[in-house]
Amino acid sequence: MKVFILILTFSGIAFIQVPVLIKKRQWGELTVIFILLAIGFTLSLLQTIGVKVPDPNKGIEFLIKQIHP
Amino acid sequence: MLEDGRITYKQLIYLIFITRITLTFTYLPALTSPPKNQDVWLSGLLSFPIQLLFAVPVYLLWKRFPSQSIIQYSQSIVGKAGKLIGVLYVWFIIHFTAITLCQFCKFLTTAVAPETPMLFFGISLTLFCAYAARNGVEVMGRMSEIIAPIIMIASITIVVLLAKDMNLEVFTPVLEKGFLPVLHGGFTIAARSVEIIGIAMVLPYLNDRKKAKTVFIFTFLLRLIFFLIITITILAIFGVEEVKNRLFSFFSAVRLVSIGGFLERIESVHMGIWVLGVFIKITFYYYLAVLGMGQLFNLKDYRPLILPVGTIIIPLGILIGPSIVELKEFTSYKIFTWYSLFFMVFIPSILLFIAIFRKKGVRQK
Repeated sequence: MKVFILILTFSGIAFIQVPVLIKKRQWGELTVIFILLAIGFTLSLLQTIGVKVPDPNKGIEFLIKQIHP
Repeated sequence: MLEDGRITYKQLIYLIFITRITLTFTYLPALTSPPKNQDVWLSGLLSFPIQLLFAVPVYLLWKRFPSQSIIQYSQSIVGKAGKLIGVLYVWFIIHFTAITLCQFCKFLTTAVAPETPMLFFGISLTLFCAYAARNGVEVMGRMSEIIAPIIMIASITIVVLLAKDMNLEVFTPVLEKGFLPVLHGGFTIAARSVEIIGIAMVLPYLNDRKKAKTVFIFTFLLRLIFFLIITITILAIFGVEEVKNRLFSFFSAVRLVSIGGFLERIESVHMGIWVLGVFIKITFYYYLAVLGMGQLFNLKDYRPLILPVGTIIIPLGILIGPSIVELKEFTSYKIFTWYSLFFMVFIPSILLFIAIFRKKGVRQK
């Protein structure tokens, strides 16, 4: 159910944005939008179905503690 | 041009002031960084010159490239490697927006509405911010011109109402642990000024270029005044030891207001200014992320990117804050100071050296 709502939201956003851009022939914007939507969809899908996504804060903390203990 | 709007220096000062002061109303991270005693207000005072020092590389770079933002001039200074710097900055801005969103949701779910899911607050606020960010820098400037006086008047009123409960004796002895912890505290407070990156992105849209110096000085000055007012109030009411155990110290202080038995429970005023402030803050950084992405990929229009970036900010905001303690650990002086200094001072100074060495940009007389 949750996954279904998620897919519905993302396809809704794509339907709002994409036809306008194709009409205006802005291919650069189109590519960037697809990359961003793909990142956003992966992030939300993994969290919705309960996969443990690595926390970026932990990575940054680890890096900084290496340099400045 | 991606953005045709212009912003006056007064609006920019208000805008940046709001983005900085909102965190002071709830989390007030300065209280848990060194010197960790009654000298926090001295650190606040000292943070002003350090902040100006941190802003120097960005200011000098802007002098050389007056019509470009930090993402654009990093490309004109180092060429292809500038794209990588641009990606880093866009990541930092998105991450910072997500942190702010997470802080907003965590405050609401911890202090006010414990049974509402975090996702609800996140989605509703982000939708409003997306609408505001869509309208560009001019609208944000005017909005902050209305909201900043509300925030100032409300916080001063709260402080005046609390005045009878204050006990100014907690501030003695001054400089109990010596001067070095106080200086360290000033350094960590100054290192939180992520708004320097924000100014570096917006300065090309300032309508009066001579006023750039004024923007830097007055923003930091205004922030300093309100920081001092709020810190001194909180410390004078709770004392040093109790403040450290409180998660939202100013919020707890506002709850104490009780005048003559009828003026009570005014924490809704505090909630109002917090929501307004966070709204402006997220809108501003959201807009910067989208604008930066547009400049990075040489797009004609940034508006189509707004909703897709929002779909990244919301899951990221929920991902980075599994609990308020872990979020506080990341935003504490041990981690966040160095993370923001890397973007605020380190990269701009390297860019500045390369620009001087390669003689790029407008020569100064």
